Amino acid sequence: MNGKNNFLYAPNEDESEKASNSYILSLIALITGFPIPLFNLVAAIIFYLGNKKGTYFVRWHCMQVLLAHVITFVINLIVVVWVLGVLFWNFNLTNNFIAFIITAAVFNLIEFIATIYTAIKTRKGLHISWLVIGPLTDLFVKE
Amino acid sequence: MHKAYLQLTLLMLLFVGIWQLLSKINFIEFLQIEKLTNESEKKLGQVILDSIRKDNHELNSDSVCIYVEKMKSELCKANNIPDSSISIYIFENDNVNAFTLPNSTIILYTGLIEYCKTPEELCGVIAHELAHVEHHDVMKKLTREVGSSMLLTLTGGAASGGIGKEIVKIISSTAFDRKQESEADKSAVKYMSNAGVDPENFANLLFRLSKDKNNLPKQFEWLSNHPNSKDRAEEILKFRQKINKKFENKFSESSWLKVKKIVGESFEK
Repeated sequence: MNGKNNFLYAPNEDESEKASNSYILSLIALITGFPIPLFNLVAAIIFYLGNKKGTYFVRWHCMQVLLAHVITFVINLIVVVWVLGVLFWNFNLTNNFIAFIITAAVFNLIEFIATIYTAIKTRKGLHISWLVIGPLTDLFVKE
Repeated sequence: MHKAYLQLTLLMLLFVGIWQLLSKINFIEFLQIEKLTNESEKKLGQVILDSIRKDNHELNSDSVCIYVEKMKSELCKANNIPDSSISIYIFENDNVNAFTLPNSTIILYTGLIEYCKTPEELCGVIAHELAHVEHHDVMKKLTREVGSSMLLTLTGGAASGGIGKEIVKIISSTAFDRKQESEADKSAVKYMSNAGVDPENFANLLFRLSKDKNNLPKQFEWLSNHPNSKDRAEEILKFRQKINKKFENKFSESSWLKVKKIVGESFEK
């Protein structure tokens, strides 16, 4: 995470709250929808669409959380299919499978911590741009 | 390439890199998963065997057991399969059926022994079931039909007798998939051939089963879990043709007649 306080303008209280909520809502959807990896993505999409006409700061953070969930959705979808395969479709329990689960868990954990951290910081009006996802968000969200 | 896409590519490479590095660790051995799986399989096999024992009498004849054991030993010895790891149980039941349980156990019904005209035919069935044991087909089938969580419940001792009976029903009367059957037949031909027993006998048994099934449909359980016997017999003959070997009768005829007599008497009881 980088780029604290380097946003184009200082967001007001309402903007900070909405931006922070986008992270918190996705986390709530992730926890309630576990282990199905779809709900957090759907929540992020809905929140993004709901704030499509919002201010730049709000749209930017809604998009950052959406892109992060798109990436983890792909990873988690593979995990769910692979686990179902092992449990019900005769897939072998291999070291490759366990390694993938651990790697996916690490990435999910990093995203989880980053989401909480960013939710707290954006609530205070600070701008947090994540590595990889931040530059991608810049491409998709225009002022 | 734009900086953002370059970073995304690097992230994906990082993911794959960590995954591949971690996969070098032998988690299966470290977490003793194989040991746990073997223990679960052992317990599951025992639970199912106990359930079969509740509904069937085990055949109480040393002569028959020794004869069948010898047959199994010949097959195991010729194919480098640890003989002691495979158990065979014979139950008094007029169904023409044989099947495998988890924990390398083969169940034979006296109905099948009665139906076999020659010891080589019976040897074919044992070789086929031995192949299912070696390919771990029964656990694959149970996982597919019942699910791992239910199997773990069963081995944990929390299952009722009803579930045990259901599992026996699945094992004894539902089919392996076509590929598993074909692979087991192929291995059976190899096992028989290596042991000096003509695989043609096994094909003969399957041909006869497919002809007789219309007369006595209820007794031919083995056909319900081994469908398309005629096609399989033809396939076995094809495998057989590839083997340039002359076979002689391997098993004692007088002992076989004694076995048939004892089995026949068990039906009269």
